[in-house]
Amino acid sequence: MRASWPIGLGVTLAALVFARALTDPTRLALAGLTMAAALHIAGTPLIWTQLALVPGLAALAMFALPATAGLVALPVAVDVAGLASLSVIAMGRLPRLGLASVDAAALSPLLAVWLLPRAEERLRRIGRAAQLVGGLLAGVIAVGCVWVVRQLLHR
Amino acid sequence: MADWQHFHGPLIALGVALGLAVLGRFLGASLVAAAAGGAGVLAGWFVLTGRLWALPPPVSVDTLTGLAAAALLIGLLCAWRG
Repeated sequence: MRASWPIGLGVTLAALVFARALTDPTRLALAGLTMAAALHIAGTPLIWTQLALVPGLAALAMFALPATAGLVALPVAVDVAGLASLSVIAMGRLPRLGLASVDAAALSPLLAVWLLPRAEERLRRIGRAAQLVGGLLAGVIAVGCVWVVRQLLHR
Repeated sequence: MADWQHFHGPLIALGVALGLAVLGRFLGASLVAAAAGGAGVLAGWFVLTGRLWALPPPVSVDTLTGLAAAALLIGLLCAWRG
């Protein structure tokens, strides 16, 4: 029990960070789909990719909502945080202060969401497609970082 | 067809979330709309974790359905309380 309190603290922190960062369907979908691709690149079993696709596709459906407040996004944001935490606990090395490609995959949604406004800003000249292309670009960069981490760790 | 069966969990999540989102939009029920995403994840993860787990990991993914249920309840409570 004593050994598990840092993990509990980490999961709580992850839930707070994800809930703060994922406040609308665009960010939720980007986070879920990025984590699904990143877990696949990290070499986890197929079930983990499927589990990550679930909040990603549920967030895509949330675009049909009339007006999305932050609280509507909260359950899915916490779900993404829970899945990221569980993947790290089950397969990662972060709880033992190490780094595995799964740990990078769990953090990749946060990187993608952080990159999203910067990518949008750079792509503003393409007009209304800037959000979509910016999201794609942010996701690709985040997944690419996981691939780089995996290559470096496998050397 | 067999490939699609691997992804029935995410597709069920999409269907449930989309159904509730459209229902909430037409009925103007904010609680139904607030439940859309969380209920979609709950349904998708329930379908996926209900399967036989061939290689048990140190931490069971079965806990994810409970997590989704708890997150949905908290989200609904927050939406209800404003």
